[in-house]
Amino acid sequence: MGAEAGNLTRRGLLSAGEMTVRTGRHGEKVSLLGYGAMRLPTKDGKHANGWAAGASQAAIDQDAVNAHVDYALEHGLNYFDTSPVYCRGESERVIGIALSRHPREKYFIATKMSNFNEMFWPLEKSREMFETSLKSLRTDYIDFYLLHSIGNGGFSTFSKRYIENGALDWLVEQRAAGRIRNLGFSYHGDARAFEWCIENHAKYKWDFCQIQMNYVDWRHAKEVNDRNLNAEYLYGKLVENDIPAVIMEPLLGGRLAKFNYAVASKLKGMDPSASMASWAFRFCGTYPKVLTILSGMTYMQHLEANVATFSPLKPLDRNQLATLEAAAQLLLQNKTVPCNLCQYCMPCPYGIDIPGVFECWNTACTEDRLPEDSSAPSYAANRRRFLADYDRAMPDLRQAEHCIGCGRCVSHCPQRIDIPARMAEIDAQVAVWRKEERHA
Amino acid sequence: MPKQIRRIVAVAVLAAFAVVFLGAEWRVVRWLAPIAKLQFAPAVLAGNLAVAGAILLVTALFGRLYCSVLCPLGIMQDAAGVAGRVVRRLLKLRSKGAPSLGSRRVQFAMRHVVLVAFLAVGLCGLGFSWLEPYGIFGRIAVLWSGVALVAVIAVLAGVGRGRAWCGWACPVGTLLGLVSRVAPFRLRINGSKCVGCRKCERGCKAGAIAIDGRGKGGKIDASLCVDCFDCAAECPTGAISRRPVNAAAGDNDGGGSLTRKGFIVGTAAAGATLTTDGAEDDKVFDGGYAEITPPGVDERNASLKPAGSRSIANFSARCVGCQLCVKACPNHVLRPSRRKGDYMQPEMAFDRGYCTVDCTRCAEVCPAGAIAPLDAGVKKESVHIGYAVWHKDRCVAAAEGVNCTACERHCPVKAIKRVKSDAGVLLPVVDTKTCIGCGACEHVCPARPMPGMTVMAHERHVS
Repeated sequence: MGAEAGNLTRRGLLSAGEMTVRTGRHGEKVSLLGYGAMRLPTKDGKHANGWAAGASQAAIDQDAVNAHVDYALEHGLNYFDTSPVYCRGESERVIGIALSRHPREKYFIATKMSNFNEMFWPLEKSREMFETSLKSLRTDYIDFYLLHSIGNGGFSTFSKRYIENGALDWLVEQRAAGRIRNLGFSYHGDARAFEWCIENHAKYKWDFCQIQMNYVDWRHAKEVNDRNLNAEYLYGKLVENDIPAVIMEPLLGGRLAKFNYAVASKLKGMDPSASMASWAFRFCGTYPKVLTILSGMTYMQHLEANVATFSPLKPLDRNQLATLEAAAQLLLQNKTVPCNLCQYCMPCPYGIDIPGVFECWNTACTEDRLPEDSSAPSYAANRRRFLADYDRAMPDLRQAEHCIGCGRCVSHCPQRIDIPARMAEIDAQVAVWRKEERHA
Repeated sequence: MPKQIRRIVAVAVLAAFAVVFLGAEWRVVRWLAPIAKLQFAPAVLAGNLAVAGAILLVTALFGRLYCSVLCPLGIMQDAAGVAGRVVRRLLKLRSKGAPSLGSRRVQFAMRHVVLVAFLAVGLCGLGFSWLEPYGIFGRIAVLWSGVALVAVIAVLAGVGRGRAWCGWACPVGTLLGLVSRVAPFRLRINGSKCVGCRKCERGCKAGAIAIDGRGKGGKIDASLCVDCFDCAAECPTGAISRRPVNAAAGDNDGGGSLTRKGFIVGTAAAGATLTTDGAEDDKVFDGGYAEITPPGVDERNASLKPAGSRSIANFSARCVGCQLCVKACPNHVLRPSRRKGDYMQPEMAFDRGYCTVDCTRCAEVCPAGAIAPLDAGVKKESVHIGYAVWHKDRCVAAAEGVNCTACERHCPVKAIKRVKSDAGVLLPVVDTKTCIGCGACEHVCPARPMPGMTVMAHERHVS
């Protein structure tokens, strides 16, 4: 993600001016770049939620996170987004340690009521989750508090998590008491949950809303999965209701930062020295109702590069937006699985590395080296490369072959991927490649 | 010159074997693996009479040339012998003289007892012999347990002259030694040129040379000589050469064994979790992994042998336990058996993979014909080596009500179908007639510690 831009900053080729700032409903001066604490670095150099082919079980690297936070605050980045469930439940505590080393008024904390598991549905359990967050984050108020992924599991689940148990009403009270400064929700999944929240805006007075937005999902989210809503529609609804938008997945879990030659040739044509990621960020930043754009920056070079992109963020003109739309259409042509490596599906009870499998597949897709056409001269080399990457990324027992198709992961996926079906497809394809390799 | 040529050939052969046995992932192995088909005992077992006959013919003409350039175990001992010589030189130890007549008698007796035992075992159809040299080399190269054997052989070779095994125990060497006695072109000492310096005697790695006490001429035991030509290169007067018997008249060399009369039928020397605790109800946090444990390997009724073996009995009678198929199996299915009946012969297990229907690597590499290539027109899908048995108490569908598609989805012959149980859960049923015993279901089954499917072996394969 944008390592090239990071190098350019260090070499003084990109000017780092002031970080662009947007204003929240209550006058908060929020940096347009937000720090996403879902992909924190681990001590073994991977990131805590997967990526880098294969999730890590190692402890989170507190020193690295401290360094990130220090650098971020020093460069005007002041919005930190976490959740009780991120990074195997470690994210809040680690972020709390890092942030508590700085004055509380210097930064905004965003965290969520992540009561996905049925055991948290009783009101006292959900309240306990909020109180635990305060303790973990070493604070007595939360700047931005979200109902977490309201469409996941369908509307009835949403209702059980927040409405029937009175959790939402209780949160509104906490806002009145000042323990929550801004109350909002993040949306994935069932459209009815989103519509319900918007319809009830007059009652709940949402201070912000977190949506998935990037230049692919802007007009093609529905194309990727019929059950999705396009980001253009979601953003339009928020503008209509004067609700500031927090953006997640601006890079689709890093997929938009990868170098696909066809896409790159379009983007690099506009500016050869700008990173792939910078275009995706600038796309989101172009829209004025966007409050902040979250990025899970596992490595310092990500942070440096992104800070450079946002200091200040240059909005795109109409031609540039048109070029990104053309790039999005190119990206839709490859066989990528729309997995953003969020790890909500993990741990798979049967040990499968679901995001690891998808990442291997997607990397081959975006780099145009998925062995598809057996008459292509690169076919055998690509096949060998894929199998080598696949076997290096995870042990045999975590590969798609061992997916039993039980489907327990499906309800957890915010992208609503039919994981067992995709696993079976990848398994069948890999079996064919392995067979060919045996006879090569 | 002959010494150099034999060295180059021997080193090349040993290197080829080393690559074949140690580098199974390399492409070049495909080209080199057929070298194993030139091994004597496997060729006899495979009914490969052309190779066996050729080896016997060469031996009858030139002596145990096979031992010097084709046998990997022999060449490996030469390497150990070189190391031993270096050690002796560093420690300033003196080389021993010729073995005493007494020890020669024991040696003669021992190796012939081993040969008789080896042939008896083979003729009785009991198959597999521990003492087959190529098989020993394979086991040394592939198995960890071989390390102990390497140590013993290296010590013997290092302390002794380099070919201790070949002279004391090797049944193939002894058999070839019987033939080599008549070889017209074997090495002989020309008594008229010999000056009695005993350099050849001290250097002989097989301990086959005895210089006369008077110091003029001597004998090379043709049954022990492994045709390394070291003596011919060493001799300062060129007294040792390869000449036909008649031309060598007058040589002080009776040929044959020095201890012919010492053959005593004596001592029996032949003896030489995946856990499911990450289930939905427990999932609170995102990320991380459930623990994985490989599927256990269940008890089977008998050893499962690959397609091409025809039957367990046929397999056991031919296999020399060289482990070449174990090394070659791309799916990591084959491994040495620990059963009493076929100890060290390969059997199949599915904890690391299953026997894919497209693959016939084991049959391609087997030099002994224990795993024969399938007959033309016979597909591996139609060879039934065993059948899967379902364990209701282990299957996650039956025991936990999980909607598991693993075995059904991976069965290459569609022998597994899921049927709705009274409890409303889909449970797998196996058509044992259709099942070929490939182990796919056993490998992918999520049940732990033991898989919910176990492949049982057919004593005789059905095709």
